[in-house]
Amino acid sequence: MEGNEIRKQLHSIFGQQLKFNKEFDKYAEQLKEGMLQDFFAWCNDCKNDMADRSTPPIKKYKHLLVFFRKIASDVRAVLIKEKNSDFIEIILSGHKHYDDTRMKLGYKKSSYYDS
Amino acid sequence: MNENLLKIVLYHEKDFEPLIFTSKQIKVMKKRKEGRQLSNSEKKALYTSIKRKMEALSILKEGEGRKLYIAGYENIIEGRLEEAEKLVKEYSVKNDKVFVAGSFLFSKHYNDIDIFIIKEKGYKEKWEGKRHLVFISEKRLARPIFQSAAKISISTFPIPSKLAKKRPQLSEVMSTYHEAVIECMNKEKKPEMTRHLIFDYYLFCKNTILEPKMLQELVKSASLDNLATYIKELFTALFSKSYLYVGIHWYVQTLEEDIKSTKHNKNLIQYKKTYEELLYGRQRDKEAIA
Repeated sequence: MEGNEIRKQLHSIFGQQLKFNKEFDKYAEQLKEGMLQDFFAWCNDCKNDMADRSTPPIKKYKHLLVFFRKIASDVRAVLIKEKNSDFIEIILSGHKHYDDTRMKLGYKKSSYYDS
Repeated sequence: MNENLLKIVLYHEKDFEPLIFTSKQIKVMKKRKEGRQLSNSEKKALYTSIKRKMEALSILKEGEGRKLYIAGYENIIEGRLEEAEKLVKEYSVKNDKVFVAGSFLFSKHYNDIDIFIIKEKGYKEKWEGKRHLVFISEKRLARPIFQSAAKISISTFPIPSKLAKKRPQLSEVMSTYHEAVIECMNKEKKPEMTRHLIFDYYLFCKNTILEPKMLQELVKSASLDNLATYIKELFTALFSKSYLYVGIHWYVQTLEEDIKSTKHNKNLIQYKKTYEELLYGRQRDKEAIA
């Protein structure tokens, strides 16, 4: 599936306000059909209050809820929602950018040896 | 580039020049060894023709046999030692300092084979099928995580036992606990954050670098109660009571709101319980979590 089709589907789940990271298409297009369907299922779970989430452990982001997902061995997803409001951003990336995003939000890096 | 081989070649430069290396190439190699700055054309020569010739010479050197260092021999599964030796030899053709460590050596079931390659600077991870290549600097080897890995390993060099401990931030410790709880509740196969939490607990509370086999066993047997005990002791060892109160009190309030606003809240209830026990010595408001 092409990047813009995937974005379209995510807009239909979360609404038009959802933003994507720069490299979203590159990573989304790497996903095989089965992985993509799992990813959409996870997005629906997030939307329907059925997925694990957490409030970032630093105060300035206490208005956010963050969802993390590992897809395949080298693609990672971060979905960010404003509490009592909309989903605002989805980030699909590799390990490096994923860890940078985690660090920014106050989480520990996920890579065992690079922590 | 294999530094030892570079020394040998330069020591016997007359035997190599001009048949294998030109005088210009020898000059570049000398500059490289002395750490002097190279011009662009010299860099090009170093990373193309010189590097290739050095790699070919490494193969000859490897044929003579090379001393390998084995740590934690008693924990290494039969048959894996030979495989690991082959891998170390394979990667040491192009790299001077290499070691194999991780679950491949001591566990029947393993996900990947961790191969560590010492580089001058930087950090990089790369996968080649099941091989997980971790490029690290010698300085980084002093980090507890690598010191732990080295306790069961096969290497081309004696891994120095230095230790550089870095205290984690409160938010990192909290998020590690949060994700460890989720891993435990979901019975995840590869609970990375549980591993981090137990490792840090032993490092900062017991002043011990866990060897990887023991760590794996502790991770397998981890329960929600264990995790809560570990995190409470870890918080107390790392931070003052007042710092913890300021850093966690607001989060408990946030958790109260989050617990009310979602049905998917088992993990949040667990965090709240642990934090209240830490801050107030008991769980405060049982009605809020009912």
